[in-house]
Amino acid sequence: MVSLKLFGESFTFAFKALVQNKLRSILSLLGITIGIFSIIAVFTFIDSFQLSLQKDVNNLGSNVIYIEKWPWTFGKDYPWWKYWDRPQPNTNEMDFIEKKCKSAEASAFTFGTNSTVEYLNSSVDNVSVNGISDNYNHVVNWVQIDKGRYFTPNEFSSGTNVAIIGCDVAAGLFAGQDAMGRYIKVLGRKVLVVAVMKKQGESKLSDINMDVSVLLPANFERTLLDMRNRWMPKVILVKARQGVTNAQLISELRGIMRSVRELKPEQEDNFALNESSMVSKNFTSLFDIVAVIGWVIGGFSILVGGIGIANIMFVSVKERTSLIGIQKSLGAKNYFILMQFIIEAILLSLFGGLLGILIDGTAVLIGNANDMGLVLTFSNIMLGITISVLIGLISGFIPAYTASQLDPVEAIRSTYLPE
Amino acid sequence: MVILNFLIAFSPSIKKINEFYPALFSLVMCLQFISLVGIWYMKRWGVELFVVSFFAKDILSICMDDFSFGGLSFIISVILIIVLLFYYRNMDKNL
Repeated sequence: MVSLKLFGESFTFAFKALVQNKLRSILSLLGITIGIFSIIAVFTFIDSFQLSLQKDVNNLGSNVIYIEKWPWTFGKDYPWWKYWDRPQPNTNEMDFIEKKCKSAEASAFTFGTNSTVEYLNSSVDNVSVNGISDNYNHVVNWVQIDKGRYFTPNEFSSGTNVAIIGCDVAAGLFAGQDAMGRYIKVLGRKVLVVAVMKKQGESKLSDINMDVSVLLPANFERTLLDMRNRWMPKVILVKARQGVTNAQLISELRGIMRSVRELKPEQEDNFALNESSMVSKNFTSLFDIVAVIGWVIGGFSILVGGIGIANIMFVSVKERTSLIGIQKSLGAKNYFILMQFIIEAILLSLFGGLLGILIDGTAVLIGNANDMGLVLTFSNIMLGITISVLIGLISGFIPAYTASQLDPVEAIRSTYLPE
Repeated sequence: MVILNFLIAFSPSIKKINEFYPALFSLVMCLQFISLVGIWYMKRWGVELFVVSFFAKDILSICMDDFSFGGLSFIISVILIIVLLFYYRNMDKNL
């Protein structure tokens, strides 16, 4: 109880000292504010990006292998001319994979082009029109239906003129009206809208944006496009079975694809086996560098801020030396004086840190108002508060300890007069 | 050295180990700094706090799977503790 009372008294003394010197307090906490703001801003940015990246990887499927003509990542000496003449994957190869691959749970085929989609007088340009096979929604997670239904097996097999459209396409064509059951014009043919997808935003990992997409049954779209066109992207997607690693699946798929394309042992692969981690790894390493730069800038700001607080605390001790002497002569213990100055330093630093976090929070709100999807996590807020408190403790300890060790007689005799 | 370690506690690489590792690691660094001030003033509490912070740091590192037995800081800390314990009786008991 006595300790609590002493702590309360120390707190009151410290708070009064800070309030008495408002301008000095504000100036000395600015360094900490900038430091905490920089560090937490960088961590917030990185965490938000990682969350978004994780969402994209989940949508692409962390256990899905994409068999394509072109690889997703390019090395330093990228031999593009080798990939130029590669054949595109086709549905026969997918059927062969489905028969032979033991590590695969499901596989799908997709191909597409960009086109203008029309409804009466409205149109949306540059829409990605993709033909998909029936297992497509089992392999990837980005076919998220908001209204309506997925294609039926009959629609897939017979190639019925039905479509699932992205939310931006629906908004562009129907302007808030119900899109279900209406006919839109895609690649010169009328198709019936059977579903509208949820808003998903743009992917950071790939150029896929389901909001500006139209999905058609593959057997229908193949009647609208020239399937012999070698520039039209075609992809076989293969999802790994539970317990099968991507490496195992890639190894098996490589063997199957080489066998179906009748490649000799000395011949190189003429297909690319892509996975989402290939792209996310590149992003992660880039953001590691950004995090280190942010940390170095923030770290130095905090260091300078800490030195500023230590300096102010030394001035504060010097100013109040005679007061310390009086307190000690009236029976104040060393730890009471120590606590008084430490609390003052911690409060100063904590206010600085809270101000930095507040600026971060405001920046996040402004960013989210512009659809940036930033998240200021609880752990980052706690980290900011911890850094501030500990910096205050470190900066204030030496001045506070010096104050606590003062001789009362010498301290009372002190003649330092502040301005 | 301790101040630099304190700043390293908030580095992205430390944060990657565990969300709360930077906070705990920096707390231990802070205790170590305070203990060094105590040792500078030849106080017994400085040695005691240094020993506590040394074990706290190692236990934390073991828990986070980040412990290196023959690390430079580990060896320096052990030597320092031995030297300090040798002079412990001559140190001041008061705060």
